[in-house]
Amino acid sequence: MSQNRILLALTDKEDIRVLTGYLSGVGFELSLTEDGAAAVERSMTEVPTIMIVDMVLPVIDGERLFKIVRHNPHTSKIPFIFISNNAVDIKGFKPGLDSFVSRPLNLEQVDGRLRQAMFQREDAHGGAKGIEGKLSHMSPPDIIQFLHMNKKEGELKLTLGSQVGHIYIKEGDIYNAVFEGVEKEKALYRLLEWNEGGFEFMPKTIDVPKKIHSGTSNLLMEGMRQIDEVKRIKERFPDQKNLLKMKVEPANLPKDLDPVIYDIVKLMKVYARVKDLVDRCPLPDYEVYWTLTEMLSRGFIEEQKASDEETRQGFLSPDQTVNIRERIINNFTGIGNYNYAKIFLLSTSSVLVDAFLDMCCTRIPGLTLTQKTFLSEASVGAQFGEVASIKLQEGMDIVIFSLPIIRNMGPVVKSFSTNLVGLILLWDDDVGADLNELVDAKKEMVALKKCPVVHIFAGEGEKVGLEISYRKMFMIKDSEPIFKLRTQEKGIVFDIFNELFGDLLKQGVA
Amino acid sequence: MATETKTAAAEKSGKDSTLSDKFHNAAFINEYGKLESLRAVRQNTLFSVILVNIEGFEGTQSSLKDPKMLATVQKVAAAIISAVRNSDVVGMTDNKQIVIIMPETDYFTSLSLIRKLSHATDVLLRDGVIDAAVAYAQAAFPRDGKTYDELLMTAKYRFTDRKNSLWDKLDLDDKLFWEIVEGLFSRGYKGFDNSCFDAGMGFELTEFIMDQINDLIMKEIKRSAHRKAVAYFSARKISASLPVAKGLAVSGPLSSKIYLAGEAGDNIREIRNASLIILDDPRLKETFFTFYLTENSGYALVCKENWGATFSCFHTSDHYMVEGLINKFYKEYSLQEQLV
Repeated sequence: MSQNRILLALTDKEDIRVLTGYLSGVGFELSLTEDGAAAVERSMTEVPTIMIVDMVLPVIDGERLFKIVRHNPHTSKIPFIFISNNAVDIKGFKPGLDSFVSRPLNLEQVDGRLRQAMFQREDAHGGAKGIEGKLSHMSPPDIIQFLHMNKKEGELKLTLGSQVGHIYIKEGDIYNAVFEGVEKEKALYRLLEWNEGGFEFMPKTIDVPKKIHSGTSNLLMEGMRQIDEVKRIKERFPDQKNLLKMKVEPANLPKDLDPVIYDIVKLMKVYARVKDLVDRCPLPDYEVYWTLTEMLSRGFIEEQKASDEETRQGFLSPDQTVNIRERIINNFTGIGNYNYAKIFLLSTSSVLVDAFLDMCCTRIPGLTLTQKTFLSEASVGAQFGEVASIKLQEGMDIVIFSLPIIRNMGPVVKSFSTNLVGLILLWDDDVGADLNELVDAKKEMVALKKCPVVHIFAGEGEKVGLEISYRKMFMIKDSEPIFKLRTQEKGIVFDIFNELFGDLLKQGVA
Repeated sequence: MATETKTAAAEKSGKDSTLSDKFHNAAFINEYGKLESLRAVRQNTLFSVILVNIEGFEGTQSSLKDPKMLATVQKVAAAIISAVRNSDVVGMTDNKQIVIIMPETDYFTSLSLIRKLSHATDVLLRDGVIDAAVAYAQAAFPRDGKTYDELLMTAKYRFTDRKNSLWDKLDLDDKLFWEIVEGLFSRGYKGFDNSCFDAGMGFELTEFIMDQINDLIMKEIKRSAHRKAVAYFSARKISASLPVAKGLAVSGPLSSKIYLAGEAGDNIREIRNASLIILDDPRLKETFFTFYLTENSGYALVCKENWGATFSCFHTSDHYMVEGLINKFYKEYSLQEQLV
């Protein structure tokens, strides 16, 4: 099959002139017929990438031609673009793959349909399963070796319960591996360990960039070595659940250390738990553990036992997770269409957002910062949009969505609040900040969504009068707390989220 | 009659002879609407209805006795019948309002059909064939109601609800796309529905706010890839290096339809997951827009570049404003509808 051959079955001279001129100009190889019977024959001999067909054709009309081609297993995946004066119902028509273009022809529209049909076709081809089986019968290294020797191209999907990993292979070489937000060697080495679950290899064109540059044999040997090493000296590594703290100021670290150490120090500004550090660092797990052990032995960092709350795998218990998920799905109109719910973090400045996230992320297990937030760790830029997420069960996330600049951003707040389930208001005693904008946002959102709200004051003021004025301004009931965000009281973030989720579970929200 | 099937007889009696062969009376259309909603529930499929409001037509039998009004309704009905698909059913409700029932049609396709219908009736108005304005409102199953009657109620409610929108308040139906856009910056709107702001050098917001908002929309689209939405992003030059195009390049198949509008730039064939609207219009070099419409919300951002890398911006969360701007954009540039 030619990659770029289009079979045209057209009778209208103007359509032929316009389309052949345009399509040949953009590099397609064209094959033209003027009746339906010839088009059927050509579709089988040439198997084009796409067919552009007039609904009205001599001998066999467009609809009949479509049925014949679609019923033939050799040609059933060819996308159709119909040219007609108006759209008609055709049995077997697949929206997304097939499409209509009405006269007079608009070349941009034709181009759009072609593009759509080509990508859909690639996806449809990619969906075909090649090999599948159980990892207990054939381990990941064996599968990879087999694909490497046969110079295969496609996607190897490994599944273990709800976990799914992907390895992209081209000409037998591994181009990339992706597993739960990590990629490259780190993901590959984690997947190599699996000895139960299933696998499928789907032959398809791989157009992902090559991110793994070592040869397959070397990768497999190194991966297996690292897995063995981790098992062998596990006791020497810091406990996954524990917290790590810098013992020396990052600026005072020697200048000629392994660059990995500086990367980990940067990460430690955001994450404290060993597991989070290992997960977030792009290097393979063994190398991160080894570096952490090295840093501990040289006295750069110290290991602290985490509190009970901090040692939990997730911030929420399994029961809470299920209940919150049910509450969100059942109580919020239209939320069923979404696989995530939002908590708005509305604040008077992006610096406050950074301070809040810093506290949350170093303490709350299971809360993940988005990559952009992490990259902007200098915390100068405005935190706008998704800044962190908490995973609930069955593919549902709760996303923390930050809008630090409220001024004149009302339509953004309103438009993106469809799946809103909670509101965090954050302000300080900066006299320049416009608290009225924050108050208005609360009024608008509560009227629109009736969602729970928590209030956090991040200023230094302790005057009684100040709290009273805030309560009046934000219309906060006496029974509702105003949390005070202090850097020395990091445990407060648990109270904040407990209050928010507690309210969510209690409230009979609309 | 003995040789006719019951369905054919019902269909024959259901035709409103005063209008057209394809125009059905209230008894038939009510029955059809109810059956369609039952079918949609049973088979978990979609359908939509469109209600048509003809200015001055009060929806009573007596107003149809006025020959001028009858002629207007007939012309509008004929234009609608010629514009709809073969699968759509057109007729009159009990309240003497023209209704179109569209099987297997979602919210977005019904909006496209409204654009097509409104183009057909605008031609009548422009050519002086009718002198009454025609308005449309739609409702889609199951988003707006579970039964045919609920959908009719929602569509009716939309006629009144739209009166509160900025679109109707400013009477923008009669204005051109660029005329509307130009008028939005200067009014100093403030609030959660419509708001104006300045960005760029010397302002609280940088010029990157536009990219940030576009990025926000792309993230929303990619997070729920199965959910339908439409998004239009304009740029001076469409190229594979646009942030939006880069975002699309690394995403899997999306249910949303994304359009990039502007002059053709570099590597446009590498752009994935989007349809290109190639427009060589100098106004697109200094004014940028983003329209984003989902089943539950709408957002539009329009920014005009001023001297010294500063921008005057208007944005709205008003659904009718977003729909109106998209419709005007389609109309102004004669973009064709994809009705599937």
